[in-house]
Amino acid sequence: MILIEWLQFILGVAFLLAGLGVFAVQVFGVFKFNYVLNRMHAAAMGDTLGIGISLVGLIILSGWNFASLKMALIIVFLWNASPVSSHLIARLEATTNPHLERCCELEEGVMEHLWDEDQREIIYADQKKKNADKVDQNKVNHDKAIQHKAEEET
Amino acid sequence: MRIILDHSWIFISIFLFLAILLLLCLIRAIKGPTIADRVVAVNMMGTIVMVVIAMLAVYMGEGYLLDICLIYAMISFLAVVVLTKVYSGVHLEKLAKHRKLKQGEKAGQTENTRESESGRKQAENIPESESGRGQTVQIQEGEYEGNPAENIQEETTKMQGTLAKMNRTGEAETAEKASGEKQQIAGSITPERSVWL
Repeated sequence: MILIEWLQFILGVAFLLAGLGVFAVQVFGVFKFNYVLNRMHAAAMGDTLGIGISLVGLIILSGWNFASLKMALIIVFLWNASPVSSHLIARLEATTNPHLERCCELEEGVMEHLWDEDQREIIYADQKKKNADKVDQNKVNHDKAIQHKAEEET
Repeated sequence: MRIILDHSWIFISIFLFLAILLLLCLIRAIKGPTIADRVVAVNMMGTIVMVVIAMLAVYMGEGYLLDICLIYAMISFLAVVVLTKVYSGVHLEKLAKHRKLKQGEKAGQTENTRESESGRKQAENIPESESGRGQTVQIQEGEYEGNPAENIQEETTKMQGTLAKMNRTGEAETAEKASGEKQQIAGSITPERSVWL
């Protein structure tokens, strides 16, 4: 009996540690990748695999009772919820990013499907207006440098 | 279970490790350049917190914590759905607003744009004339302002000062335009975008 309990404990903790490793890999991946759609790939791993393995370990630890049924319910719920939320986040990114074709590879015609031409123009115009101040500052610095050079030469 | 309580250091160290991962997720949520990054990070935090709650339930032997865990999962899913809907709605609203504004400007500004086009042609023919250049640049800037008629005088005083310096450097204007476009292309995922989200 004691042997079985020890076996249960070791197996459960091993599963829990495996889930922990998956979570660590997930956080590492989220810091490693540069773009949201790449990061989501790493983040979705923990949503299903990480919490799945961890809760399986906890089910083994807690034994056969009502609590383990609830944990199985949580796993099943996350299996369904995680793809949906990933899809929604990806759609948010695709609708709000006017430079999507610069951030990742796209098939032909996708950008035309997502954005009207004048919508993108609007955003570009607004960004130009925002950049105008910076460009002015650059001009001023450039001129200052030239003046300084001229003074040194004289 | 007896063995779990005897070896509680394993559970406590796992709790500590998960806390560190939570802090890292929080850093990601603060740093993330776009709103989608933040939503992804918050989703991740929700997952880790769910594992913590389930572990607490087993560690303390309290079954009701698992109900809390299930409800937490549902609420974090709902939060993601609502956040994405709200932010895409805000973005589309902004687009519609700007489109209206631009249409209004176009309606009131057709004459000015015609002038600017003729001014550009003049400037191309006679690049050294300061007045022609002044007109073009000033109206190009004015296109994006609300009321060009009010800003023209301020703009002229500003631009004459800068133009005197620019003409000294010759082709600086075109070169700077080109470099500006290059900068825009190079900084593809720059924080300019976050303004829109």
